Amino acid sequence: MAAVRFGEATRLYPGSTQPAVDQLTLDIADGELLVLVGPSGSGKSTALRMLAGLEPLDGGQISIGDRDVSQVRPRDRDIAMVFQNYALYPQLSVAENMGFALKQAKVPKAERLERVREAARILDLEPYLDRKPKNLSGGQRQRVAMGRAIVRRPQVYLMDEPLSNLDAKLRVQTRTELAELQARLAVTTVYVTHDQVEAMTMGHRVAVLKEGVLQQCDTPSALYHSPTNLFVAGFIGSPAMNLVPCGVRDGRFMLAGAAVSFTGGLGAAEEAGATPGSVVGFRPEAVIVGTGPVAARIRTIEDLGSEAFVHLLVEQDGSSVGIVAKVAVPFHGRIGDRVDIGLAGTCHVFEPGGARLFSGGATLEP
Amino acid sequence: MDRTGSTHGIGERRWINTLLGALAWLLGLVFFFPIIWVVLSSFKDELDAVGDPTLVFDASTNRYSEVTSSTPGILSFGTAFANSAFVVLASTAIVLVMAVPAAYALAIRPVRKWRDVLMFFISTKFLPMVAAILPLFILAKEFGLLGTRTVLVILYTAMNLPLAVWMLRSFFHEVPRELIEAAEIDGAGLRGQLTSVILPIAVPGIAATALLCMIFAWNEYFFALQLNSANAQTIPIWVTTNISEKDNFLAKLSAASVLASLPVVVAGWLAQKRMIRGLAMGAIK
Amino acid sequence: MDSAWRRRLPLLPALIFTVLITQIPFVMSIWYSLTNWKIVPPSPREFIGLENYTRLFSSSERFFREAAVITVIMTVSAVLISLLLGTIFAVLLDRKFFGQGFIRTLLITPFLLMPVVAGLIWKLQMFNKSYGVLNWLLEAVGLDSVEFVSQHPTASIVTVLVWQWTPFMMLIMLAGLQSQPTDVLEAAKVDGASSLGVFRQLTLRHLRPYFELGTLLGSIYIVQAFDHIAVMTGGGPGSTNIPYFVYKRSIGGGWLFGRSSAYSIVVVLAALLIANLSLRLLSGLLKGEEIV
Repeated sequence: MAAVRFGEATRLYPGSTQPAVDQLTLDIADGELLVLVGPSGSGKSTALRMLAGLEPLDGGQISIGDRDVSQVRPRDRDIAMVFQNYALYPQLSVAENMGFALKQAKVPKAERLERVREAARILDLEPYLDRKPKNLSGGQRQRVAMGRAIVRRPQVYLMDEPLSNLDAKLRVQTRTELAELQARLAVTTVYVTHDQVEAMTMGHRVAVLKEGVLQQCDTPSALYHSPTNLFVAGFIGSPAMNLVPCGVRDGRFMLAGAAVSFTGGLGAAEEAGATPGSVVGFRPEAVIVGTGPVAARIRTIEDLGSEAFVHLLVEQDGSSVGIVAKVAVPFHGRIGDRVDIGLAGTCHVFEPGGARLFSGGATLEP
Repeated sequence: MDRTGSTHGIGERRWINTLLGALAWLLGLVFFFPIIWVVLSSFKDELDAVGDPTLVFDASTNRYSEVTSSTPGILSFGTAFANSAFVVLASTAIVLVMAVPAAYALAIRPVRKWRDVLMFFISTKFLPMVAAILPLFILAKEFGLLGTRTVLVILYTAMNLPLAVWMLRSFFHEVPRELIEAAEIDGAGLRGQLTSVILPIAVPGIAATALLCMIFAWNEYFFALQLNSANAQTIPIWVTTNISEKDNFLAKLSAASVLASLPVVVAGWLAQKRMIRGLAMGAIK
Repeated sequence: MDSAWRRRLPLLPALIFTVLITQIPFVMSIWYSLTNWKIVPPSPREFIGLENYTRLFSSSERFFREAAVITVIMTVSAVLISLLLGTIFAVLLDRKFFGQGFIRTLLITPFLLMPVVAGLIWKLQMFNKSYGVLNWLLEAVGLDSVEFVSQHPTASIVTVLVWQWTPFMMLIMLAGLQSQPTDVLEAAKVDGASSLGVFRQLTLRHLRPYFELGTLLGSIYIVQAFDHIAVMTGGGPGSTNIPYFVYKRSIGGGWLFGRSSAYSIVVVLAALLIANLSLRLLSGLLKGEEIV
């Protein structure tokens, strides 16, 4: 068990001018499950591979526990990794796959068998120990990959999109099992995914990366409710936060002809910072459909049974802007209908450069 | 290729398929005909072999016993076979021992400028062997290797090494990177990675490569003739010793040809699917 | 840096061995080529500068130039014809029919034969004027028999080269055909392309690197053809290519070591020029392989 620290860790691929990971500083607590999330090319996998020792550092350092491992070979870092495609050795049986690392470490055979058996019990793999990977289902292979990591009892688990090759239903189920297992073993885990739902449901904390730069690292709830910038606001949450570029009139933000009115202690001081080109952001659940000062037209309706999302079009400065609203079911509108909408909930204002200026409860006034 | 059920798609006309199949049979048999003919000749007696082509003759295996019987002072089949087997196996083994690590250094943990190194290996295949024969002859004589099996082992190793590096690199390149990284994290060193992960996966490719090396070495005649005419002669030389200036020799030569070709031909037949993969698939991907 | 050397280490045995075996003879040849060394009649080895090279342009060396022309004719025709036939065979074999595996087995066999055997089979049992099968066929249709090997030496040798190398080309093209992604072919069918259209517009383009590979590997081996010539014509007129010519002038009976070394060096330089051009083609094949 150990804490992990990235200290301004940088990786610049040869022949590239922009670092794949740019001065990443991140402290991961002992026993924490930290998720690295971001779109493809964000550097999340590179960061993980740097921690694994599969990518050299071009700057900064990485430590596991009290030990600076920046120059340590992968095999000597005391880590275990679960790969996206599982990387099971095709010619070895399940038991041999799980025991491979112990064999390399010259662990006595009896102990090796015992540890493999224990991991197999945890993962329900006991009936399959003699099979070859090619004779397993996708879910079983995934568990073998997990087992291979568990058996080693390393200081850190590294997981590189370990669920992305499972079908949707199995992925949700395994997600829960994996989170439980991690809590039970209490081993520091760094988990990479591009799926923000996975990130939010599993991570104790989630680090959002974009183009190699850490945007924000916080609990899922904090990411959702106080995104630090436009990118995080747009990336976290499904459907995504509504982000509408706003005009300014008389020092107030204007949304489709209505003024955004902040409540609860937010005074003129904040609003005085209002500059044209600022972006107003609000979650679908903050939109009221049925009453309000803004006229909208229904574009499509996604009825999920337990809730529904209504995609709306509003007129803003002569062009159409799409807004998504979360509504209670049953919802009786139809595509093409005209409805009035309003706001009741948190509203974020981002400056044109992307950073968040302030947030607060808001409504719309004519 | 193991499809079952209808062998022709919707709208494909069956007679075209049949026609093309028949054409393949026709071309295949025409192409193979010279070999059939030699096999037939090898069972004839010498007079039938030079007579009008006929399928009716007294078949016997006498020619085979003639060519394999040994006369003192004349290169025997057994000696030549032993020489060839030694030279082929030894050179192929040495090729693999050197080419496997080299391919690793070109494909899996590539050195800088791996392309240039690979190009150097291939470029040596362009150097005409004949241009080197005189210096090699003189060197072999200098080191007392002329007429030994050692000199052929060295030369066949040099002859096949570039091809083997080229093919093995391609096969190693197909080993999933994740597997090697997993082995690395699991604590396996170079030897562990090779023996536990890479080699088992690359076995078909290594087999195809070894086979091709063996074919080229078994069939090689030029070096064998020039550097080894004395006492370590190989099978291709033995074949030509069955040519006679005064008697009819066609049936005997045919029998010798069949015997000389059989090991490599059978091996090639058994490994043909791997060769298809080995020759090009690996080479281009 | 020690990690760079750790990477290089596995490469070194093969690299050092290849450098030694291929470069030492080359350096020796350069030295010999600057001398008038010959064995018959025995004469002392004297340094004569570039005389052996300037001779190459004189009329007394027209045989060398003829050999060069024959080498080009043999190589180009044998490579092109075997590539064409190999492609046709591969296309025929790429579809399912009764006995597919058997026919493929028959077709690859000539490649497995030793060149000496192949040359002898054709010379003695196919081409021979009195008991060769081809002449028997000619007579059967009422034509005069032909002494193929002496009357058409170049064509005879090219025939045997083609016979042996067509299977090799076929294997390469077959690998190319089988590596075609089926979804693309299916998409083309759904898009309304005819079989011939698919072949011309998609398959041929897909096969291009395989054509290049076949040409390259085929040329490497065919340009060095020696064994076939040795057993079929013994290097008579019209069938002496450069390898055979150099051989005849040196240890094959000419014993003109100085002069034949000069030939060798010229040939090596020409080969390196051709190699350079071909390898550029080859690097094209290696492009797109992103290795960090």
